Amino acid sequence: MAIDVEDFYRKYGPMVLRRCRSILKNEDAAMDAMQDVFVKILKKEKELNNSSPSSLLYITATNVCLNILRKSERKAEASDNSILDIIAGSDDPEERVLNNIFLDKLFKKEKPSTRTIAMLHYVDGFTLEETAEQVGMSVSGIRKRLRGLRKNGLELREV
Amino acid sequence: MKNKVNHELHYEQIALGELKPENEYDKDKIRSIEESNQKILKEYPPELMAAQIKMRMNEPNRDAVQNRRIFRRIYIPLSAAAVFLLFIAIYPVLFERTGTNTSMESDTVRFKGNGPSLYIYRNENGETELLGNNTIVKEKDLLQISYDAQGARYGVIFSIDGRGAVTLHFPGNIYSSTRLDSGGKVLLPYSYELDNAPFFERFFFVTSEHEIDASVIMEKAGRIAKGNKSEMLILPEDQRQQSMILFKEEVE
Repeated sequence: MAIDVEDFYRKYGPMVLRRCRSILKNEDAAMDAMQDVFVKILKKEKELNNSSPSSLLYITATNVCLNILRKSERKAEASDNSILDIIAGSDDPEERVLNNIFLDKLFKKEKPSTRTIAMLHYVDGFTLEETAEQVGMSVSGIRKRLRGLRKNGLELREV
Repeated sequence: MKNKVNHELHYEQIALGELKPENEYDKDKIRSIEESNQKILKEYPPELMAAQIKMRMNEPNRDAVQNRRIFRRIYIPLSAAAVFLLFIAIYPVLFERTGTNTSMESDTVRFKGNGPSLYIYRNENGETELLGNNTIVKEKDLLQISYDAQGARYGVIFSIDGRGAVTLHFPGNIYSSTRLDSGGKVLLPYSYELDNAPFFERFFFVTSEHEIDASVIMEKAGRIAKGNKSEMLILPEDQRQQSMILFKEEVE
């Protein structure tokens, strides 16, 4: 479907920017990420169906921002708003296991999409079903991925 | 009754009209989202954002994208009232050097001889100072750019900093017309806070009697920024250029 970029931004830009701001906590980085999100979506506009793209934009924003954080961590830049801090900072008892002493080691072994899944489920409060829908996986796949994450986390903690 | 609290996407989708609000909490959230939408669209206008997104789609070179970040971060848009106040502050400086005749004969501070001129002012503690070539400036100095077209009809103003970041000052983006205002000195509607880029900030003013493609100028500027930063642009015969450099004071 042909997309008018200006209209598309007018409708969805604020939502995407809010999402990027909430993860990156930096206005310049969020603005940059927001534009990246639109570029990614618009480059695949032929694949967009007529249904609302809000979910796709939201999850793409999440992925883009987590990638930015991951790259910044790789560069060993001091950051008080890293993905690890975000995830470790959640109140969910389940993921208290995953404290940021070993989250770094833990996520190094995981697929990038596992970060996104953890972010959506643990931090954003998506249900397993909603997380599955957002990332295009089955609920059992999500459960398995999170189970693996917890298991690896516990093993690391014991070490 | 305790309201059900959902994740943010849920509220965003209600605000987009894709879902219906279920309770008062939803409605409060939607109101705040709508207010945020208005603020964001005012701060980041759709026409400008669309242009930047399109530019990025056609620009796989990530370095250029990095350069644009700098220019966003350091620009401070001024309200009409602020521009007016700044103009009042700068006005005496403008005419102290040029008299009351706006079609000045020469810019004794910046560029020799007749022709289009660029002026850079520093506003510090309420004092406005016209800066000359080689002036020492420092991080967080608040600069205001002004030009006098002196008959030139089109122009592009940009700067390159010591990190190799290119900042377009005029026009507002590479897709806008480069038509200059005539009739004397014109203040750009932005002040410009120097960031912590080291060494220098070099300003260019490219003018012509014919429309200038700002994107072409920015491409050329990008090449200088990545290479020898003391070079001038290679321009067609109908375009003129001037440059001035401000040196950055090291801040410990």
